[in-house]
Amino acid sequence: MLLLNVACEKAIEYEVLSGQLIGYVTLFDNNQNNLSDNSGVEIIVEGSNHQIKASTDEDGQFIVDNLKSGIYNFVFNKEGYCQHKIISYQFVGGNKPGTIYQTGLYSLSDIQIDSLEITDLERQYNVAFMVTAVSHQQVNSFSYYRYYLSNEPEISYKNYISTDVAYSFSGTENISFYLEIDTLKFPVGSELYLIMYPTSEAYQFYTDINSGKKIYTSINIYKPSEVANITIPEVEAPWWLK
Amino acid sequence: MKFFKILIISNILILLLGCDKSEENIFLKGNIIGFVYLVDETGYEVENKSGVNISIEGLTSSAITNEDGRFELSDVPAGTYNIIFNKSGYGTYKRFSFQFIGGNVPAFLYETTLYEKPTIEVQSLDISFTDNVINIIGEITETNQFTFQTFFNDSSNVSNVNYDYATGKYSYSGWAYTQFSQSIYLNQTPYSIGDEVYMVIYFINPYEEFGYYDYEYQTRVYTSYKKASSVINLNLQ
Repeated sequence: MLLLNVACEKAIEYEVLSGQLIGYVTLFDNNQNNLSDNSGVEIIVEGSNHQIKASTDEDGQFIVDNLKSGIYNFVFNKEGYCQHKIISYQFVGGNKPGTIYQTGLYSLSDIQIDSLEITDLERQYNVAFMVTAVSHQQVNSFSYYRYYLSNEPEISYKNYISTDVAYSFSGTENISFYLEIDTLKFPVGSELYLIMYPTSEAYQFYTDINSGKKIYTSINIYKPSEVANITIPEVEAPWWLK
Repeated sequence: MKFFKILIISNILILLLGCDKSEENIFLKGNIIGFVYLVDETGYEVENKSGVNISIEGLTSSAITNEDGRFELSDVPAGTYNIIFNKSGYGTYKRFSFQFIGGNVPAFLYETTLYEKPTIEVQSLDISFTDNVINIIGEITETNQFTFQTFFNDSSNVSNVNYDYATGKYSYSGWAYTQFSQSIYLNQTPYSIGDEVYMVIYFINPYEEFGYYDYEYQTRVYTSYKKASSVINLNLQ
């Protein structure tokens, strides 16, 4: 009877494929240079019945052995670096390893945004503002910021309507940029809220499967600016629509 | 002895339960989550994205989007699927051969966009064949922009997925159109003088660029295809 039981358990293992998963992580410093030592990144694998963790070696490689066929999320953590996530990775298993290619993990930007201002611009046919962010610290390289727009005061990198990046060149203490507003998303008379985060890179994101929002992962979530707001003013219609 | 009997029975029970479990494990199950976006006739994204029906060919499970366009298909067994997105007034998008493994966290279907079918109508149509050219002149309800495409077949069941010859997409953009025309040269078509052919015209949302490739009919399909005319019988004399 015991032998039969063992046979049955073996059958279970046979039916669900398993295999090896290999991934690579590259660490980047504040100047977007990749580091030679990519070790110490903790990877948490979500979606398994038991807890799976892995960590990177100097080359940035991590290995998960005996991973069963299934769908997994991977969360990448390292102290001082932005957290990144890969969602809904479908792993088949088999004789050759599955791979997760080059995931970048960026050092948290150390820029502090001391104030954020949004001012009305003299405009003709469109709604446009000037945004100015001041940082009382010498910024010594090309630096990125990511800003988010919403019509609610509870604005954050998770809760927003639209987002984009702004950048400044080396040595500038403050950054100003022209912000044109889509009045279909932000109608005349409504309140516009703006928040800004220093970011190390412009593109890396995962999608929040509950809200559908893109969560950009290279921003420093611990250093948001204050929330600035302004009322969307009335705009003269262009002559060709009068 | 009694002890042994109990042991044997319990072992059989374990064996049975264990084997049942193994059968369940043969096919992993899981959830599929995704978002659908809607674009109206004038090219704007629709705010309320609810009411899109999502179904899987060959399975009974289906889902409907909420206002954010989000849907969730539950307990889908591992397999390769054709996923169908449909909303009345917006047409149908088919996503072919989606490979799904199943597991404890959901699979994510990246965005799918449905385009509103044009609301314009054809009011009259004049089709003639002279000097080896098929000339189409039509009157339509007023519009600032529209796109159409014409399909030909030698059988009367001609449609956007069943044709011998299709013209390219013709787009007009400007101000207050009430007419459209198209000239089709016979030497561009597979037909020759004396053939009896059938044609049908479809409107397409001008903002729909890609549609999807239908592997079943082996042709590109735009979700917003809307029949603009009935099937027209043409004698190439």
